[in-house]
Amino acid sequence: MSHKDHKIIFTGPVGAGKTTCIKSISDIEPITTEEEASDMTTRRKPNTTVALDYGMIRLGPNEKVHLYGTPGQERFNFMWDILTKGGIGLILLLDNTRPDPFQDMRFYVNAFRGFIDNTRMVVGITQMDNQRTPTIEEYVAQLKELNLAAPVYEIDGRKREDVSTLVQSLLLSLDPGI
Amino acid sequence: MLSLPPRTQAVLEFFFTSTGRASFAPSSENAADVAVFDVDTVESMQRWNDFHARTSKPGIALSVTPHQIDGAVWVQKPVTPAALLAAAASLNAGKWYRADGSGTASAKPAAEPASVKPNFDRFIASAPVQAPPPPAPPAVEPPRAPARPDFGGLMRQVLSTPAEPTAASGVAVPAPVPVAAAQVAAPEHTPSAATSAVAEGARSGVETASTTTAAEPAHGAVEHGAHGGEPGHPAHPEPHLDVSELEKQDEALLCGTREDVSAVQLASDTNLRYDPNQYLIAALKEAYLVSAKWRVPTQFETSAGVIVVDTLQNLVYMDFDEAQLTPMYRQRMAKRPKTRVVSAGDFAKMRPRFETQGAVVRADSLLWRAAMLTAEGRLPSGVSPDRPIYLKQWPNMTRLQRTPHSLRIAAAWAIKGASIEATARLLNIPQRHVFAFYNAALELDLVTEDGSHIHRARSNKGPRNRGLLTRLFNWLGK
Repeated sequence: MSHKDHKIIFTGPVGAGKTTCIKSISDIEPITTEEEASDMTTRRKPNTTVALDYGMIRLGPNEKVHLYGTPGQERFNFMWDILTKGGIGLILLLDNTRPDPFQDMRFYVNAFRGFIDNTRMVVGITQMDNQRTPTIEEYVAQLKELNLAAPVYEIDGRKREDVSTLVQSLLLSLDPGI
Repeated sequence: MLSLPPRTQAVLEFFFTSTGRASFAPSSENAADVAVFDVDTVESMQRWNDFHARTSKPGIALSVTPHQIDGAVWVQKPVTPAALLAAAASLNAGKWYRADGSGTASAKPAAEPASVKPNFDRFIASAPVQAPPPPAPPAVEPPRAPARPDFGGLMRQVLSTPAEPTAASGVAVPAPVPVAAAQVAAPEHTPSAATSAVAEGARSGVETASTTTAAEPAHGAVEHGAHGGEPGHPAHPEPHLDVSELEKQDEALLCGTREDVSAVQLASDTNLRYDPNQYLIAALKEAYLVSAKWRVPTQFETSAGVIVVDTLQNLVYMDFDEAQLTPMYRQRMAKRPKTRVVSAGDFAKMRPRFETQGAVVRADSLLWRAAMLTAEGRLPSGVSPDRPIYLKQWPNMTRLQRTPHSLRIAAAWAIKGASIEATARLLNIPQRHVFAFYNAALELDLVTEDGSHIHRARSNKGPRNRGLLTRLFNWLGK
């Protein structure tokens, strides 16, 4: 019997919650490749993902959805094209406490634009309980300037329900008829 | 671990240092509270008999076939993380088999979630896994029993009785159980993606359908098939809670109970319509829109007290008990209260009163819910069920009360647009669910009949695998 493999990509800046989100919905204990942060990342967190995070959802005995979290630092962006190839869609996570989350959003949208145009993207905003602005509406307005319309949700990456809603919305964006 | 076969020992050592580290802490035989032994291995059974006779401490018995062994909880081989965690919970609760029949005995195998049972052996790395130095046994704390959502609190709000404080759903985690470990050298555990040395993550949390807290209005995943999480491992028996019955009550409150009606009836029957401008929701919406436009707090007065809406913080402040709002939603107002902007100075003076005597809640959640409670399953006057509806943006569905099929309706209106009548028909769902969503989205100013932004943003997408998307969607909804 043939195996079917699919993938969903989680991306976003350092500390946005990619690792945590994957962990929330993965069927397996996620594989993370963390190292002590050596650069300005240390200001945000002591460890950081230097390669990628990996989790998996088992839909059946021969079908899996692989969850890949891209490394947050820009110097690993050569991996992004490789990771997105054949992917179902993109989940962009943004940290609302970062100095310029709109700049973050523009950066990642531009970096993954081809993939987004061919699939779909949803946006999860983390840390909104610590920093209430920018608001969801402001993120939506920024996306509109980029000629994009995508679900933008406030999420807590530790809550499975939040991450599940994010992914469900990605799937419905791809096909509202499912 | 007492003379376990090498493969079993390697698996358990990996588990104790990863997924199971919150429940198990390997230790020496002298310091251990629990022993893990293999019934199918003679030497292991002998060591267990010695250990138990000497210490009277309990154990976890691993074997292929069921066994009732005095002082032990049986776990079936091949071992799974969920079964081990369940065994730990049983041990913490004192539930192990007792040959003399005293105390609470459990001869049943450790419970597992009804899902595909992975074979742990598949995840063993080819090289022997070495365990880290056994840590000092941690203090064993009694596990915190998970609290249940208080749907009764919602009913009390509706019936204007004081809302009782409700507990958020919690997680019962078995306390760490020191385990007698074979003496091993202090090694390094080097995870490698290539070896896929991972264990099934056993989720031991309870994500219930609805959680009501004192600070936020009831925020529930009432949407069918959209509940997350799995049953946990409570240490003590919980009273049975008919969640499905409570979900139905919540749905009835927000969506009404009216059966589908024909287009003709919808157009002619005034009982199926209401005018939002005659209700408190209109004042709330106006305050919300003014605050959003001018980026300042706005306030208005009600019979219960003052309400201030601050969309920059997405908060609504009131100097009275929030429970008083619910009956007010359904009362027609003779005159809509006037909205005015609040200066920074005035707001600073008012804030202590809100925080000590009143309530502070999320603005979007409040309006969303208030709209549905006001509508009671009806449609606003003047709204045509045949005209296409579009969403200006997706609602923030992780923080808004989800009624049945709300995500699907959001997708239909955000991606393509559809009339209210067509939405119910195409999605094959009751009209009242579509009405409820429409009312809520309308009051958050998300609804439009102009779909030009959707047509502009639409672009050619690659072919879709509907089967895959459906399977994954359903998996997430479990």
